[in-house]
Amino acid sequence: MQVGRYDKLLWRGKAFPSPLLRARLPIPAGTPRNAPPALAAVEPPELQAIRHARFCAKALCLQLPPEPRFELTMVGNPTILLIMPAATLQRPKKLGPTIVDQYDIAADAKKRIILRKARTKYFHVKALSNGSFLLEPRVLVSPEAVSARSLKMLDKSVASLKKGLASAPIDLSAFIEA
Amino acid sequence: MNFNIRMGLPEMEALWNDLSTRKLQGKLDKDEEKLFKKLVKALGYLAQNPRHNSLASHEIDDLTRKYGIKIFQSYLENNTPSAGRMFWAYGPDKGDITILAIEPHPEDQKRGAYQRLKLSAIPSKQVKHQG
Repeated sequence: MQVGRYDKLLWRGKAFPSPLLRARLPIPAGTPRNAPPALAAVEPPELQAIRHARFCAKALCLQLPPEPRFELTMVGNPTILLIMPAATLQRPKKLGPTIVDQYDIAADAKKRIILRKARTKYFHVKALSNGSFLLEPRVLVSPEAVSARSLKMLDKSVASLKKGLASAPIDLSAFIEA
Repeated sequence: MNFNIRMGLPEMEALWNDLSTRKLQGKLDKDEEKLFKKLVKALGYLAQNPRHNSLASHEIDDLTRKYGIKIFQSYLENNTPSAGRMFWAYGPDKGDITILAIEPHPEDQKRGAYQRLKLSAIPSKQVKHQG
């Protein structure tokens, strides 16, 4: 029987023809009405090759990905590769800040409140329109940091120095003696 | 071996010319006088020996990486936290030292210094107990 398109479903490795195709397949006499037809008669050579490869892999105790539950067609290049497992690792979730302590507090006569267990000395405070205050820890700028003005001066001086340009040697004798 | 001290172009040369000229004219104010005195003393040490103890000269790796030439830092004064500093490099010729920039003494002890304190965001994973 000539079938132009192999239109069938795979379910757990067993082939079942689609209802339309099944209606056109020859059913041997005495076969129950709901029984599947002879699979070898409808299985194309490509699917037989895949089934044979899986059988050999099982015999060699190779790790294979789970079988696809449904494969609608076998037309053209296969889109499901048996030897290429899908990535199933979940990306690590980024954890935000968590609440480690919370308490009620009253401002004193000068409307000051005391932070308990503050881990930094300096804070940046944002007063929000709803009466909330947002505190972010800050550190003092390192004294080793170079100011923007000095960096600008450095940029120009280094650019000149790389071109071999610098001032004439300075004479300190007058100032040192004075 | 004495080094020739040169000034970087154009700003350091302009600063030095301005300070030295006004020094000779006696027109430096009190702060400028103090800065000039320290600068001349440090430059004298630098010309004699760039590794002089008083200068505490050391290479600044970040700046060296940034500019591609070795940048050194020397202090203008001793035993002073957040002292004035100068940045220099060898060159352009052998036996030359070029002063690239001067970071004057920060005004951290004057009135209103608290308002000028700069705070930066705390680095992640480096939260330390302070004070």
